[in-house]
Amino acid sequence: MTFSRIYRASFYAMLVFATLVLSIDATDDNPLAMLYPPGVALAGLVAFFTVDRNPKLAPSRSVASFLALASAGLSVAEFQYNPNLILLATAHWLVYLQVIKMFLPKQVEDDWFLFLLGLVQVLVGGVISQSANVGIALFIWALLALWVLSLFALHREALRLGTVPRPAEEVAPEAPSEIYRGLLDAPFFLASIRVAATTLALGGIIFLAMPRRASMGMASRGAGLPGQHLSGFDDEVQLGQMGEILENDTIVMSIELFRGNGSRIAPDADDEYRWRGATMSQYETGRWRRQSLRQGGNMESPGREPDPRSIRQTIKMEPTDSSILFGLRPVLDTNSPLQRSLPTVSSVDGSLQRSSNRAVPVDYEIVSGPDPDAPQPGENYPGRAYLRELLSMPESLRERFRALALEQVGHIPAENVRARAEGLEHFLRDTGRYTYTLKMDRVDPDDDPVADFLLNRKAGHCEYFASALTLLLRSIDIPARMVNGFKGGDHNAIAGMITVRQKHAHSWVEALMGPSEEFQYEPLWITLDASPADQRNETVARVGGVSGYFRQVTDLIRYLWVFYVIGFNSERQDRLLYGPIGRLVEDAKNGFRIMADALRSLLHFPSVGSFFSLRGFLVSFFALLLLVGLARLAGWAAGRIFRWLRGPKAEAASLGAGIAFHGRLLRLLAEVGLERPAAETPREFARRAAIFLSGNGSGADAVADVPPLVVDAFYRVRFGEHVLPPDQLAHLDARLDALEAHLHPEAS
Amino acid sequence: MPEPRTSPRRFSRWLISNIWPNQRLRLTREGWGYLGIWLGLLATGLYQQINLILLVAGLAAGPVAASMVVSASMLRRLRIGRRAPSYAFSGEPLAIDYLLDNDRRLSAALAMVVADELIPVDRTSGATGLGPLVFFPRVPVQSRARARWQGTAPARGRYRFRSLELVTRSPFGLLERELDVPMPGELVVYPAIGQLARRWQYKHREASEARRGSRNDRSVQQQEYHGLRDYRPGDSPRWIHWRTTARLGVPMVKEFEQQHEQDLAVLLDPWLPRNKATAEQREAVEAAIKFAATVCYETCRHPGRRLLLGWTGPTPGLRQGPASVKLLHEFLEQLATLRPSPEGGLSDLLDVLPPAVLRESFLIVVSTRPIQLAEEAERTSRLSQASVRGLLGRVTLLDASRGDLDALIRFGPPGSSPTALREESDAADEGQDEGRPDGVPVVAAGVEDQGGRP
Repeated sequence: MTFSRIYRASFYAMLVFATLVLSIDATDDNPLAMLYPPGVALAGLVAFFTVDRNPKLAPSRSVASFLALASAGLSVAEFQYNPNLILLATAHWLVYLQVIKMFLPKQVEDDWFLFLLGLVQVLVGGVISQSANVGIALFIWALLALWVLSLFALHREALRLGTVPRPAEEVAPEAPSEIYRGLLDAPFFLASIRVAATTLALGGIIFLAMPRRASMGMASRGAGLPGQHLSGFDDEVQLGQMGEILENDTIVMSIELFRGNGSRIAPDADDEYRWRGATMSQYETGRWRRQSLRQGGNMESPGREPDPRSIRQTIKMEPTDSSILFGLRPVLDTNSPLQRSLPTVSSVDGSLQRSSNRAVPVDYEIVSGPDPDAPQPGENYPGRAYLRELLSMPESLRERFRALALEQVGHIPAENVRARAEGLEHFLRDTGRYTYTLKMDRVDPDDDPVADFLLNRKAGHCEYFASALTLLLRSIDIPARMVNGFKGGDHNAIAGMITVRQKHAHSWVEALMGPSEEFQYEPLWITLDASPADQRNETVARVGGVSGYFRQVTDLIRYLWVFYVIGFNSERQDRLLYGPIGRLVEDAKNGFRIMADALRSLLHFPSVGSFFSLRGFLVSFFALLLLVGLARLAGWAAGRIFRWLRGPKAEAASLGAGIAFHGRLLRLLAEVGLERPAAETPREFARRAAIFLSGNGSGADAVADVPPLVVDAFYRVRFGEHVLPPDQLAHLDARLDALEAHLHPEAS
Repeated sequence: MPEPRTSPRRFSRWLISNIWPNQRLRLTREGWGYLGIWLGLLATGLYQQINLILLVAGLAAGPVAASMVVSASMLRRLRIGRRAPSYAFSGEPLAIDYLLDNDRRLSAALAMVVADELIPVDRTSGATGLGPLVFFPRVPVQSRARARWQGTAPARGRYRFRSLELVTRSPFGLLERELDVPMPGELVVYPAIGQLARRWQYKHREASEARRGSRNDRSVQQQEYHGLRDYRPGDSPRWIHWRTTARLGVPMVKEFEQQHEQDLAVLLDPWLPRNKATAEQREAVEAAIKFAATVCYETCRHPGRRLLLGWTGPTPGLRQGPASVKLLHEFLEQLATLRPSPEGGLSDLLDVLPPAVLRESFLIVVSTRPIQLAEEAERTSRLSQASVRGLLGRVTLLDASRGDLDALIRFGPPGSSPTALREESDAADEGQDEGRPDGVPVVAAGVEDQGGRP
């Protein structure tokens, strides 16, 4: 394939991807949108094999103009069909223009025009959607655009400089673009990859360094990232609703774990962290509601050294439409390095929240204590109303549940609340009577869903297990609440973080053990998880399908896309770029300041007497050493400059004209193998040459006097500073002519 | 006169050349357009607060930023050279070869441009320079390519090559990086050589024989047969040696050696008024110089005579010697740089002529103004009345301003200049080919293009 064909094919491929960026997420608005990229590809293919090979097949300008007008009409019709899609309709008009232009003969300006059309499509695509799909298509488009730009540059240079007519043209002139024969070899592709990598890296740095506003990445304009809806985390949850997200593989958040001393925690697959979210306290026929009281406040920083066993979680949560935040219990401290408002901890149930539910990426940090059953600082002991909620349950269920509960834990004294609670947990989780499943069959549709699970079906997912345990606890007067959150996550070894997906959603139970004597009578809640862990893990592992290393890579790419491309704002920029640079500069300034202080103190001698000391000796010794070094350096530099100014050639140049005859003699003698060694003076050499010539026979005697004659004259000029008169120079030239004639008789 | 190395001017030039970067980077026309679009993208991204547009703007800035880095690497490990003749004839084709060595191990040199500049040393002469430009589409790794620029030699004079520029627009054509490679050189453009018409031959012979006073009927054919040579335009068909012509298939003519020819002195009076010189007068000066060059050339083709070239001016000058190619080069170089002058006259020149020339030689006086030869001769102190009469009998006086030369010389199409000299020059050029490492192939450039700097 020739250069021009590859260039043209690459150009069309780039245009196809530009249209793909525009259309990939526009199918919701216009179902026909996905037809545009194949349409452009088809048009490119046809144009490649017709017009680009034979420009005579191109439609006339008038036909092209008519088609352009018609395409404008098509776009207007699209706009009238749905007035909300003016941007998309305009972009589609660009696609039509692009296709028409593809079928016309192309000059350099036309290629630039096509390139711009593609760029505008990409921009419109970016405004319409900022999803990862758009990002992937945009990345491929950028790579192709770089490749096309480099080929385009060669194409332009060939057109600019390759068509100059040649005077003695023996072969048919080739097309300008075909002068790069053998271009597309492996080194060219390697060089292209290198250039592309350099370009993307520099482009990425420029992108990161561009001035940002704090509000950027907040999806204030444009469509932004679509915020995901976390079923099961609303104020009111229908039992079984969580089953929807348990089969969803979408990422919710990425978490990095550190110890209190700053060391990174490498998560183990067996670690089952529970990322606590919302608590549910009111139950009514298959529906859970959050408690009515929602007081919250910022955590006060403990102001002491963190417990080395504590766990600091740096959490980056993808955009959701919920205000709930997640973290390990008990939360000791919160921090939000990027957002202006800190996460708040509810004083009622200890849950974490943010101030708004805007679908933007959220960064926050949580420091949690090592013991999940320790009281949550800032959480009040349940008031009377809340306590009533924590014990409430439908009366129709109470007796049945109580009977079942007492059957299991009736032998345990009522005072031993913890043992009773754990007994019920054991009953549901470990006896094998209940199994974990995501299937939502009902045995008795008329009965309460929890009762149906507990008494009839005996199979369900975590929400059923948690609901059943909560109600069983309440039936025997143990205050309990259901907690919705996430359990575990996928460990990403590349990024060193845990990726939590919707499928990791989980429900468990917190039971109130009363005021804690150990912790200043704060409410003591214990965590109870009735779901069979092994069965749940198997089910979670089955969701998704793609796993292993590839999944980690895609997770990392998505992580970067969400938090460092789409969600990149001035706060992240400060944290990633300008903060470290500022600190580096500050450190350097401090370092120099310390050095200057040290030097000042070293050179400070309060009195003359203090100079005569060991310090004075060392200072003076090194100062003199430095002085000597500087003097030598200056001498060396001065010598260089002086030598340059005087210059060996300067001497030769001024004398060159006067002693040219000597040079000619040396050249002539060198041609017959006579050369002056360094140890021989010119006069000695002349004498030797004269002897050589006199012994050479055949009239050489006549020229044997030439070397001494010339060297004598050379000495007068070179060392005597005489100027030879013209007649003497002419005489020397004549004698040298004679010598040359003798040495080269054939030339003469 | 060469400039002393210690001169402040030269020192400052050295200092500047060492401090000043030898590379220049500038935006191309497309680069300016690209930059404008990029600024639009950036403004849109910042105003709309859409990171995806900023990402596109960042990626779009990548090619400009990368061009700064990559274009510098594209120029690394490349060597350029120039092979130019030391002289050329005005108006004749001028060929300059440019070499590009790619010493890189991995990447070929792509779309490289070598730009040269030839400027007249004497800028007051009114001569204009040349800007040879050659294009190297692709030079593979570890190889050399050669591109030939061909143009027309400019007006006579001495020209200086400035530094060569290696130009690349890689990789995206948005920025152009120029690398200055100091490569001084010199080119002497000789006056155009024409062909002396047969009328000149007759006129010259008549004058010569009139001086001898006998053998009026002596024809060229009666001269001593010397050998055969190629036919040249202007040769008499009678001189064609038909047998040899038939055998070789190309016209060959007999060459005769004129025995006992007199020594010849060509005296040039390139007079031009100090003010308000007309175009015709300037043309006359050039015509006179071309004629003198042609006569010298024709004379030097036949060794055996002594030839003298003298010229008037504020300080009259002369050169002389046995006719030879070497002497011809000296004469042509002198004629190449000869400036017209309103000062001086023929009598001053006659004053400095060697006595033997005044006594024996045949003189051709080419002037650009009417000259009273007798008055000029009498004005000189070196000639007696008898000598003046003898001298006047040996002088052929030609006034270029009167059109005396028009019928005596004609100029052929470009390329008809002295082939012997050109071949000799080419051979000399081939001999001075740079040393090349063994095993490095010499690769002809994909094209051997030429073009002028726009």
